[in-house]
Amino acid sequence: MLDAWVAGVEGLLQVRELTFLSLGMGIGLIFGALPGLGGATALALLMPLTYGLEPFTAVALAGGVMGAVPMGGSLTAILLNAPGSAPNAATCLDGYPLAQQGKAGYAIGAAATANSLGGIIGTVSVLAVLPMAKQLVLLFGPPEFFLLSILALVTVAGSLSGRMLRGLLTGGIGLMIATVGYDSVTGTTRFAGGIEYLWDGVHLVPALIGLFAVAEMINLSVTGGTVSKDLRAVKITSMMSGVKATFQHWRTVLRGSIIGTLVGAIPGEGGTVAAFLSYSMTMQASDDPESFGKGNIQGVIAPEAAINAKDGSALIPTIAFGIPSGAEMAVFLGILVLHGMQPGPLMLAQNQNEIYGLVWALTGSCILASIIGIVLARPLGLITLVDSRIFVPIIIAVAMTGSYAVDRSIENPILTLAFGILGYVMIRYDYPRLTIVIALVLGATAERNFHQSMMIGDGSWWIFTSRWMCLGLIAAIVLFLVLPPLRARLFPPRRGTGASAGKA
Amino acid sequence: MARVFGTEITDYLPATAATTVAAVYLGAAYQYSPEARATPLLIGWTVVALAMLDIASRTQTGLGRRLAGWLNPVTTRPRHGEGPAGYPIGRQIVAMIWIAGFVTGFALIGATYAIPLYVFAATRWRGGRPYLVCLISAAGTLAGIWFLFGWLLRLELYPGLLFGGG
Repeated sequence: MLDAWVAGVEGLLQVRELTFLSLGMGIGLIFGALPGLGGATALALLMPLTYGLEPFTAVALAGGVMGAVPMGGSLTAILLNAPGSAPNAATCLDGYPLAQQGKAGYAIGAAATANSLGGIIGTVSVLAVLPMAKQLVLLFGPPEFFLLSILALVTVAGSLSGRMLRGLLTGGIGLMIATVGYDSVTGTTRFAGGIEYLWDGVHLVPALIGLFAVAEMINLSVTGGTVSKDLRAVKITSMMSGVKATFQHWRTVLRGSIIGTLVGAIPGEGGTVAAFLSYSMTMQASDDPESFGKGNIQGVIAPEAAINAKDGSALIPTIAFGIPSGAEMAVFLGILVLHGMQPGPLMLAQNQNEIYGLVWALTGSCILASIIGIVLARPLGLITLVDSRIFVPIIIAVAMTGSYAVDRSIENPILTLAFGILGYVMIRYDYPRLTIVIALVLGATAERNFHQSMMIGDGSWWIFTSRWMCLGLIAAIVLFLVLPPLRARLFPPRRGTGASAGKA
Repeated sequence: MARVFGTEITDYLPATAATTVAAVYLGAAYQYSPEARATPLLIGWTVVALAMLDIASRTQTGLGRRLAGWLNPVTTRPRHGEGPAGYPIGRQIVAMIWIAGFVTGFALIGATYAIPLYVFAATRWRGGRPYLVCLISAAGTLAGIWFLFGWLLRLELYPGLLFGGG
C-alpha cells in the first residue's frame, strides 16, 4: 500500500503533471468563483482536453480543478455574498457580514486555512479507507455489479431532496440513451436510426459538455446580467489574522472536517449538507450562538473545513462503487471512463497509481489554491463583474471546439447542442441532470453485467438473489427507495433547500 | 393557459414527452432479437411507468397530491418571475438559436472563421457591447482556443464543410 502512495506522489511530481495540476487549479479557482458554473461545468469543458493526455495527467488536471473550486467559491461568497457553488452559501452567512465590516481579508484568510486543513483531513480519511474498500473486489461478480449500478441510480435519485421520482425518470431516460449503438454482447446495433455516428453509442464527452456547460450557458444567457454590480465590494484587508484565528479555533476545524468526511462518504449527499450541518453544529456548540450570522469567524471556518474534507471522502463511493456524490464527481466518472478506467471495485485493484495520484492532486490543489486564493483574492473577485453577454459566447466557443476535438467529429458539436437544449429544458422544468449522467456512465456496464448474470443463471432471475452480497444490495436498493419518501413525509422539505446534488 | 386536472397543461409536457420517447423506443426494441431487446424492454417499460407516475403526481387530485407528497415533495412550479420558467419563451428560444447558429457556422465555415464571427456578433448585437470590446473578445477567444487546442494539444481546428472538412 505504501508503494502505491509513494508511486502516486512520484507520478504527480513530474513537470507535465504539475503543469496540468496548476492549469486545473487555475481553472478551478475561476470556475469556482463564477456562480452557476462550478466544478461540474469546468470538468465537462476540460474533458476533451484530457483526451490526448495520459490517464495520470488527466487525473492530475481533474484533481487540480476539484481541489480549487471550493476556494474560488469562498472568495465570492465572502466578498460579494454570491456563493460560487451551493455549499459556499453557508460561508456567506458570516463571511459577507465580516466583509461588510471591513474584515474581508480576515474572513478570506480563515476560509483559506480551513480549506487546506479540511482537505488534509479528508485525504487522511481516504488513505485509511481505500485499502479496506479494496477487499470488496473479491465479493463482486456480474450480478453484484449489475445491482450496484441500479443502487447507484436509486441512491442518487433518493438524495435529490424531494425529487426522487424525477431523478428516477431521468435516470431511466439516461439508460435508454446508453443502449443506443453497438451491443457487444449480442452483436446488434440498436436505436442508431441508420446514423453511422451513433454506431459507437452516444458519445459521452459531447453529451456531458452539452448537459452541463451549454445548458448552464443557455440559462445564463436567458437570465443575463452580471453576478455583482458593485466594484467597491471587492476590497481586501489583513489576512494573516484570519489564518491565526483558524488555528485558534482548531476544534471547529476538526468538527467541520469530521462532518465533511462522514457526509462526503454518503453517496448522493452534496457539500451543501456538509457545510450547513457543520455550520449549525458549530453554532449549537458555541457559547455565543447569537453572534452567528453577524460576522462570527467560526461561521466561516466550520463550513469551509467541511466542504474540502468532503471532497476527499467523496472519492470513496465514487471510485470504489461507481456511485458519485454529486454532479462534479459524476462528470469526473466520465473522465475516468474516457481514459479506460471503469469506476467500481475493480478500479481499486487495477488503477492504484491513478487513484493515489488523484488523492494527492486533490490535496495539493486545495492547499495551493488556498495560497493562490489569498494572493489573488481581488482579481478573482473581479471576475464576477464580467458581463454574462461577454463570457457566454466565449464559453460556448470553447465548449463546441472541445466537443469537436474529442475525436475530430463534426457530429459532436451537434450532439452537444442537442444535449445542451435537453439540459436547459431539464433546468427549466426542474428535472435533475445528475441521474442521467450516472446512467450514461454506468449504462453499458450495467447491461453487460445483466447479460452475463442471465447467462450464469441460465436465464433465471433468481441469479440476483443467489448470494448474500446480492441480497444485501437488493435490501439497500429497497431501503433507498423507501427512505426518501418516508423522510419527505416526516420532515417535509421546502422549495429551494435542495442539496447540491439536487441542484444538478 | 388550459388546465387538466387542475394543473397547467404545459406542466405535463416533460413526462408526456418521456412517455412518447419511451413508446417509440419500445416499438423499435421489439424489432430486435430476444437477447438484444431484453434490457431495452426492461428500461423502456420502467420509464413508461415512472413517467405515468410523474404525470399522475402533477394532477391536483387526491392521488396526485399523495404521490407528489411521497415522491416529489419539492417539485412545485416556480413562482412567477422565479427561475427560468419566469422568462419569456421567446427569449429562451433566441438564446438557443444563437448557439444553434454558431454550431451551423462551425460546421459550414470552420472554427477559424465561425468562432470570431460568433463571439463578435453575440457580444455586439446580443450583448450591445462597444465595437472595440467585441473585437478584443473575438480575437482573444480565437487566440486562446488556438493556443489550447492547436498549439498545446496539436489538434487541427475544424476547417468547415465548405473548406474541405469531412
